[in-house]
Amino acid sequence: MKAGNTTKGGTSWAAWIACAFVLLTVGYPLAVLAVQAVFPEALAGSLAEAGRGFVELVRTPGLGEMLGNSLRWGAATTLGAWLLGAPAGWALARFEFPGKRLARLSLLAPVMLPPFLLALAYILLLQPGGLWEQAIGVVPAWLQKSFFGFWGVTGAMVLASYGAVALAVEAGWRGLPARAAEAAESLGARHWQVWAHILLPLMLPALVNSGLLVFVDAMSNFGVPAALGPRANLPLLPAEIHALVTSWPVNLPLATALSLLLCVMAAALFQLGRVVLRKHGGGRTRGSGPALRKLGAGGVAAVWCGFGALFTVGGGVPIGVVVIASLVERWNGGSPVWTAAHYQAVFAAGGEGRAALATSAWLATGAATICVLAGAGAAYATARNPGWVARLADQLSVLPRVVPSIAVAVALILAWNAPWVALPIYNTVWILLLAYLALYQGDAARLADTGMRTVGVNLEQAAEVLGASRGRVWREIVLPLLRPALLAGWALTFVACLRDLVASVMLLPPGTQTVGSYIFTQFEQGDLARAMAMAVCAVGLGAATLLCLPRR
Amino acid sequence: MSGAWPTRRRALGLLAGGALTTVAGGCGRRESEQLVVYSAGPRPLAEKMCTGYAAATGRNVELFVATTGQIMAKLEAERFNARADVVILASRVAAEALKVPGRLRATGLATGLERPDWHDAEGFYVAIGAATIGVALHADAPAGPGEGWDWEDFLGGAFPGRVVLPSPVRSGATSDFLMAYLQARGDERVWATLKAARRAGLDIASANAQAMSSLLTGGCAAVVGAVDYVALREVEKGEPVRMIYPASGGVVTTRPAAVMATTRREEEATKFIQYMLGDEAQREAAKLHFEPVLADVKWSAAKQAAWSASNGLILPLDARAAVQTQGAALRKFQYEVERAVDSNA
Repeated sequence: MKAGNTTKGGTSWAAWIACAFVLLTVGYPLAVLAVQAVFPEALAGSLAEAGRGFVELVRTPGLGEMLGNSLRWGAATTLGAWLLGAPAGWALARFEFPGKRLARLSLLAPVMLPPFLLALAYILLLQPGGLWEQAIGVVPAWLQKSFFGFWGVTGAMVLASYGAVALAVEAGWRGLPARAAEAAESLGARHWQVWAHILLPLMLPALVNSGLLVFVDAMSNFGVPAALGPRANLPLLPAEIHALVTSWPVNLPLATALSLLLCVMAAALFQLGRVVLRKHGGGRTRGSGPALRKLGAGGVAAVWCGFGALFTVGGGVPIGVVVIASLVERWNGGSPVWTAAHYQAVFAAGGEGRAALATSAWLATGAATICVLAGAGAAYATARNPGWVARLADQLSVLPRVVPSIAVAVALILAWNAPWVALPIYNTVWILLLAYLALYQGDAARLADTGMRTVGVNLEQAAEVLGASRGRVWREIVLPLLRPALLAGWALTFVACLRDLVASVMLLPPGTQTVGSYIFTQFEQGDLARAMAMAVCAVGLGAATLLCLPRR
Repeated sequence: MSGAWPTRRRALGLLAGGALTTVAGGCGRRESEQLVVYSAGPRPLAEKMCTGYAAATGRNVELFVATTGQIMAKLEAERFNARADVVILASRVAAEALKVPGRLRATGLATGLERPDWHDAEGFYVAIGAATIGVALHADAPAGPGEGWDWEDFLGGAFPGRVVLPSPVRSGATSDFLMAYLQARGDERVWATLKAARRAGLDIASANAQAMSSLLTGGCAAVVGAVDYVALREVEKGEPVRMIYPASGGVVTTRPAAVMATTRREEEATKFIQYMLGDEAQREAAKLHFEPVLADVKWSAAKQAAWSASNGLILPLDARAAVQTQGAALRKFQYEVERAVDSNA
């Protein structure tokens, strides 16, 4: 199998660049973090207190429980995201129906809000005396109870992540060979047999890759549990790491050691995913894609109901709450006074709000573009020249996702503010770009990897035999075939950068604001409405940008 | 491959656009040789201090605003190549945590200042103002509270309506309150009170701002451990909220300002702190409902009104003792109070 999928002529330059990119943006800061975990004084040129973090790690009370909770929570979230996301992605890939672009966009609506704002919106809605009670009446007790518990936290995370699964599944479906299924059917295979033996194995890369990302995200997220929080009664490792980094006296050695533990767990998970895929997944095919089926009136109604329900719960309701909250001048104890002044404040000429939107827009554009290109290169390298460099780069690219972002921010500061760094990147806006690249390249890399798994090598070989150059093969064969996956990756990365919060706040250079830091600042100083107004603007900007993306 | 050309053009366009915006956006932002100040919120106060200083001296200041926790994390991560010259924190315990391992430089600025108990006797940090932690109530809450009610009354379940405490694990101000409360009442009594309160339905919010928004939207009736300047700002806006200080006293949480030991601009850093202690800056702090260091600067009307309604007592906070015990106390709070209620129960 290896020989058949490998092209001649060694690793291409694009692959090398992609690997170097991953090693620089992710490998370097994580390596510094690892060194810091083992030798807390290493950056000062001393090996004192070696291993202190790990000694304390072993002594951390409740470590096993926290790990268990994180795994349980990750598994529940992944399952939920699969259940919601896979059918949605399948519907997008298989059927032609009016308003498909909107349906696709609706998947990303929950992702556009920072998770803690999403959680806060639900709190404002469901808490005793909240908007629900004021508008509709009593919130059912079971809903309130289960919401402010394990299931509420899981549900909020599922809603924030099923869109990514759906996009990956859609991209995966489009690369499926219609012919294999058709051939099986004409040979008398039953419907379930086609699903079990052909479609599911071929879809496995998309499911596993996107599921892993959801798992890792849930494992490292603590914004949602912190907000819905203490009520959910879940001791989680990321919350512990956050507390160690931000409560005084700061304990970096232990925090970095715990972060490494999360990294090791994630790496193990990805290795597991790789094994599963090698055993059961894939089968490389020419990505012809199954033909789109036109839906009848009933089908259209069903699809619309499904997407409508998902959008309402995941995006419509919380965004609606955010919009309401952004228009309030005074809450007045339940009979609000309305105003549009907060939007005027956000858009005031020469004001911080406008600048923040502009900064976030170009940072997100740049980061998404670079991530997609690097992801394509890395995926290509992994698929065609599965050497250890490519494998390392592939695994590294998602590790920042599993470390709580406050620890990633610390790693980036340690790495780019180190005494030996000659480039004056730290404290300029470029450090934000680097941070976004480090944090969010996982999506693009996973999606590109999924895409590559369905791109057969034979087209490339044919082109090479006919004398096409490496660059031409890339431009005219690989990139076009990867296009759906790359566009999905671009959209996800763009939205993720736009809503980034922690890295933006921690690494903010002087005189700059991003959407995230602006929201955070307003929220911190109690200006909830203005924070919400900015969140609405960011959602609008994200939606408008995604609508302008080229059609697939 | 008939569609390859437009595809390629579009991809190239996207790429060029991305590269262009990236380069254009990053231009013209360079590091400067200005005084670098890291300050806890509220941002308007920090900004006023910096613009006021710039206007008075003609020297610009580079400002970074975040929570005290984020500033502490950033200082720790930058330890090997320090950037900050001046720090302004929202908790005296945090300032002690920096002072103990020698991260601050003694300036002697505290000598001769009013409110000597607010500043570090050894001259490592001075307070530029203070807020007081008490209880924020809905204006139409029953008349009982405010007249002689104490912390235990609000926590004990006697108060009608939902009571929220911002988590001290995530809010620096509430952690100051917890430490002062522990020091005043003794461990045993405080933990018993808090655990009983949690069982009786005390809710824990993840941040001060979240608790306050819950109060404004009618989600709860009282926020215990609320910082007064946040609540008083809402009072000033006309929201139906009032701030009270319980009978045995509110907890004063000072805003310590200090010069970092690694500074290369000690003279200017000292001047900056001196400016913040001056009349003009103090009046700005008072306007935002902080208690000024200078006795002749007038308090804001809202703060004055809230304070006159109380009996004027204060629960003292020994920051030096607190820095030793805070970690264990927060952990205990997290495990034995926050998570004491089974979600399935």
